[in-house]
Amino acid sequence: MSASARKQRGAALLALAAILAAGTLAVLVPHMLESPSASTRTRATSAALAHARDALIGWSAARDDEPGHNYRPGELPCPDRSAPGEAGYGYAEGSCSPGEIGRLPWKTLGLPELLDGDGEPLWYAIDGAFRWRWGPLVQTNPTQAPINSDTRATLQVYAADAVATHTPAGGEAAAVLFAAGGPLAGQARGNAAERTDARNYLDRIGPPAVAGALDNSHEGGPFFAGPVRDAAGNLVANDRAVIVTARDLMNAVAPRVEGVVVRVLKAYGVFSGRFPNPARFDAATCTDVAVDPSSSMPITVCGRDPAVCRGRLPEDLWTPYMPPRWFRYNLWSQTMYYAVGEVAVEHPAGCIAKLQVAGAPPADALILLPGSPLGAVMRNSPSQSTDLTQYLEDAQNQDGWSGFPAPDTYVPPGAGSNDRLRTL
Amino acid sequence: MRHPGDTRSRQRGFTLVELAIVLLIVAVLIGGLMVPLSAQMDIRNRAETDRTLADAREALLGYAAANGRLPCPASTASNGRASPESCGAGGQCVCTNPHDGLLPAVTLGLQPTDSQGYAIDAWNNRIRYAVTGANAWAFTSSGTAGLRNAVQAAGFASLAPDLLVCASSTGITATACGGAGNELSTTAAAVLVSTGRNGPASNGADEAANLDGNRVFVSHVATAAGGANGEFDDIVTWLSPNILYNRLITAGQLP
Repeated sequence: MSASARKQRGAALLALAAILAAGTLAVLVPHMLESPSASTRTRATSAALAHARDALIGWSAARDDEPGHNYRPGELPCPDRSAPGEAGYGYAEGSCSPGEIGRLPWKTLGLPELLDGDGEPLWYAIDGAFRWRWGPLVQTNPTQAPINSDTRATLQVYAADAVATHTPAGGEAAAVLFAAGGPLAGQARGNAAERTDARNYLDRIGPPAVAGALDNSHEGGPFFAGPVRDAAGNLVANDRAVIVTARDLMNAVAPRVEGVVVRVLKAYGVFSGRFPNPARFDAATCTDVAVDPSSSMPITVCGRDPAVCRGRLPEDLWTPYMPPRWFRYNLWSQTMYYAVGEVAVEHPAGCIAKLQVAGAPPADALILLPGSPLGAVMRNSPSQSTDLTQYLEDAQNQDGWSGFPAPDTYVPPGAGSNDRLRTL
Repeated sequence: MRHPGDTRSRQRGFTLVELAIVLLIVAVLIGGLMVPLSAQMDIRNRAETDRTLADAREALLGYAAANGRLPCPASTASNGRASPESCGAGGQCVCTNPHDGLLPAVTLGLQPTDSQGYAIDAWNNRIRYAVTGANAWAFTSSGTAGLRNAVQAAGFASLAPDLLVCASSTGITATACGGAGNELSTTAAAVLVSTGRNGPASNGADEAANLDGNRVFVSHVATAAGGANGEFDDIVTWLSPNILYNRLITAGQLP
């Protein structure tokens, strides 16, 4: 072998190394340089929406009396009408109209700025009945003013086919959170005016792509949760949405209400030695939901009746414990069922000695807190507000106001019920 | 008949000079690729750290749901455990390092950790964790000193978590962001900080604000060294008290 050939063998190895290096890079680099996949973006969007939903419910559940303000559990912050970069961006507006749409007020909620998978801030639509109202309540519609477990939400959200609904009767949305995604054709997000116009972010769908016409940028909806593709597979809407129902809010608020009620009754029990008689379930003062606009307090007082042992929680036993203002002006006491056994009641009125609850020790008194109205129930109409079947789901718990067949025998709320039972 | 010299002439192929040129070209190409590759690695590390911080936030909420309180941060001597891990008389937990501690990965059962049990980010630096000491340490305490008692005694309105996150260190003090326009949050219950690629060395005023031991932090998008407040690549997230309240109510720990 010549000297030249021997020298060239090492060079071949180097060439091989170079080829291997180039091959490895050819495999790795496209992988490293790729943009986030669609699934990664979807995951980020879902996480942001879930995070926002958690915070909204928590914000609502933790609302409390503050001097000079009617802050109350169950209400939601108004949307933010400012665009990123503007001074008010991130903060809830001071007032809003029913169904109003804006960005999520992330600063008001104490959150970091939440962005969807496409880097867009979240959007948010609010139901009229649950919106935050400053100062004394505006009583344009007295039956809608209190926020309690009787309050129904109204926002409708449809599935991507514009036919199936995410908000069946009793499951309407009190708030809808949107992830707008990237801009579609016709959506300009350049200047300040464009960035405050919801139509440049939230989409509309209609025939022929889908059967119905829905618009996520229209106040009050009806809305839809995308993404939506037409028959040819083209993306026609990329909004994603999650909802907060009245039931979500009331499930979070109910433990607070229960805590207040127990404290009121225990304090009264210590004060008087017995539990108070309930108020009559059908007394006019107990079905009147009007609230005085100047004081934000009930116009009439639903008081104790010494002749009844099953009814509603009366509103005239605030001694020695005065419940929070929010509990009183939102008429929470009228929303619940209250009964007392003969041995513990202030004025005997015909109940058995101790109330019977299946699977639990006999009770001196009990409270049943109804959940949000299911199905088409409207508890504010006079014909239904005295009908216990419109409040409580379990048949054995529905006869306390009719007195038949076994009104002093109860069961813990079952799987299909959203009621809460508390014995004392 | 083939001449023996034919084989050698075919083997000659590329000369060393040619190969050197090829290798040089390959090296230049690789060098050119390494810059965007490094940037991409940085993006991937940031995304991984975002996920780690999100996991940490969930772990904190899980801990709160189980215990009715947030854990104290770990100290550098507590081997990844909250400091203190057990509360004193009345359930009060006064944290040793409320604003300059580390994420207590051992207490929270989090991975990954370094060899001493501290949670780490994608650059293998320890994740920092601050918690509010407001309401006489109610957020980290249980029993009579805990959140439930505070809410039952004076309502949710009495709770005032006091960690601040500001958009810039310009104008901040040890207790304020220096104006509403600079505030991102004034009510955070907890703050999590990854010190980013450049680690816990302070590279400017904004990063320094996250290491100075007070309850005011800074968060914004990454900026290069030439910025007004120096290089900033910290990743900061915080826990909204509203999410904490939601989870505590759901878990039956509140009200």
